[in-house]
Amino acid sequence: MEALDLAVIGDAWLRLFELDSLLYLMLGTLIGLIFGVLPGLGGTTALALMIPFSMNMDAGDAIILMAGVMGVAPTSGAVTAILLNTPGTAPNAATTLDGYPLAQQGRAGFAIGAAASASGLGGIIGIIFLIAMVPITREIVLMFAPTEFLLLAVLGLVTVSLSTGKKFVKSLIVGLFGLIIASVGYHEVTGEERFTFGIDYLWDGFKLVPVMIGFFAVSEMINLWAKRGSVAASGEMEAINFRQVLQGCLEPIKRWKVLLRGSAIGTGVGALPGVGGTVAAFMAYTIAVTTAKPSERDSFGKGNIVGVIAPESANNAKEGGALVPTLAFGIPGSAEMAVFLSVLVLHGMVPGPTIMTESLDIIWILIAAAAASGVIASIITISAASSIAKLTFVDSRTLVPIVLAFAMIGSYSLDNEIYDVFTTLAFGFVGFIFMRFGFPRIAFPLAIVLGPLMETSYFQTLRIGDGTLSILFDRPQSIVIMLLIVGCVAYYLKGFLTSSEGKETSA
Amino acid sequence: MKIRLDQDNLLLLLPLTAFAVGTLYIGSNYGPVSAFIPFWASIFMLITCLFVLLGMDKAVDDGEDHVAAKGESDNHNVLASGLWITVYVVMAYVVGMIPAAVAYTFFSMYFFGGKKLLMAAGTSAVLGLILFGLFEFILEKELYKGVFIEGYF
Repeated sequence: MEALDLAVIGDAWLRLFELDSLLYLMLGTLIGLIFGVLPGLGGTTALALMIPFSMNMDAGDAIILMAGVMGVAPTSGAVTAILLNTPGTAPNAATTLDGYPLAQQGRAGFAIGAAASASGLGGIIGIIFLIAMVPITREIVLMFAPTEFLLLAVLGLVTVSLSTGKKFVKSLIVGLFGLIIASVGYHEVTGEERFTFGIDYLWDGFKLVPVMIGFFAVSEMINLWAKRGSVAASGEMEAINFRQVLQGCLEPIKRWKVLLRGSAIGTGVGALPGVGGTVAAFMAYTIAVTTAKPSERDSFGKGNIVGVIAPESANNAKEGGALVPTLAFGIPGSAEMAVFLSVLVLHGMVPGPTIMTESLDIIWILIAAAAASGVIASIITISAASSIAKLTFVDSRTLVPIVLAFAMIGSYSLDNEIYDVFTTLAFGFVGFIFMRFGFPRIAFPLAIVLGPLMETSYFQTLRIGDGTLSILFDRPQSIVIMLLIVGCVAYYLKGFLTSSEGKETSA
Repeated sequence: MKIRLDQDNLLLLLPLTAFAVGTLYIGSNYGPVSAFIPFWASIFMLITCLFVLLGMDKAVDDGEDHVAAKGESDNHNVLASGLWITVYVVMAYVVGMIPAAVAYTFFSMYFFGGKKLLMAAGTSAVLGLILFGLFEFILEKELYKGVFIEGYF
């Protein structure tokens, strides 16, 4: 199948405009909207909760549903950032810097219009980048053998952990814990039973869905219940003027340089595994400030619309960029992408060469759905901003039992297995404990998804290398990846040694 | 560089270290292919746990966003939260998924959320109907009906 086969691309768009597909897209958008608005929940929780429902669908519909969720979460998070100074998702924090002052000046509609429009346009630019990368990526991926996939999995864990900055080692611990959890049950190749302790339920290992739902959704519910009160602190909400919204929509087009620069930063940063939207949004904001005219710089932080356009365009453009390593190498750019990766795996698609050659139709459906969901999200956000913001005033005593019911029933309904509910609860506690101790959780889903891939690649590498791993040093691709792994660890150690010396000197 | 025990993370790191030692011990008994992840992951986990446990990462991570060290009342809230969420799972096991969801939502809203009786009852009833319609009708999934109908494990 050719990467840019027009018939496949056309089919993907036609598929998207079928009634079922549109309904799934709208449903995904609606769910993503609700979760995107609620601080602390976000797209990852929404995706984890959607996995059981997607299992009954065919792969295309499931991808459309998930694309709907992913496309809208960053956009809707901007509404509460502007109206309530409470970012729905972490990357929206950059939007509060100028968005909230604009709202306080009575220009909330203007800021929301600009944010939604910048998000939609940024998302489309990110998708264009993804489309451009599909044929190139495919060629690169085909150069890789199991040896490289083994090393890429290690690189993925290391880079994702490195993205947590000073918490690199803690993130690695969580990733290694995830790898051990992923190894429970029969070994796929040898059939040897591991860590089952005579419990029949563990023969097939921990199932992905109950583990993911527990680790992300239930852990957040434990946290939310413990915090009490509503999701966001109730406060004064500025009124929205619809005329201002329309004016705001045109602002990113007028400031097209800011839009393009923000989108380019978003796609570039998004394509780096593990770096994520928060870095992209703040980087875009910082660059917008530093490249502004000296006379304009003082207005940042006091309600400059550029301070809304730059982070919002970067935040949405990063989705297109992040899909490149996720699809091509199975290395997700964020926790959200890691959960999305598990959806692909559950539908029988293995990221890497297989997906880039055999499931191109699905990739194009994903691209079409992601582009459409960004536009739909912007329209919904613009038209229902104040209603969306009110969702954050829902009391945790109402929200927690409802989300919990969907989480537990979703987990059970996958295999009609009551043990899965206990697994969900157990991993909810595990996820919460890591969260409470400040251990970044991003490496865990990655490890759970990459564990089986690592084991299979290791076995194949041994077979190719006649029982040894010497082949790792024979292939230039492998050597490059190994150098990257060493480079990442060296980068952390350099920072570690510098900080140690600094602390000793100051002491 | 001074080495001192990381007191803030002790409660988490000690079990994790024990977990790493346990998996290393068990994992090293498997065949060479099956032991790949259990063996190497537990070795690296042990090293990284000891690294943090001995406070060596304090040079770069000052743990400023560490939340476990909050006050006693906060710990009490967390414990209560964990227990209350466990109650849902126990209820689901005993009376079935949907009745548990309805009852749990009602109790959460009425007793803990201070909502009016009608509001709590209405919301929980609507939730029950949505869950029933979505799972039993649309997705055609037969949900767990409780230990009295389905029997023990």
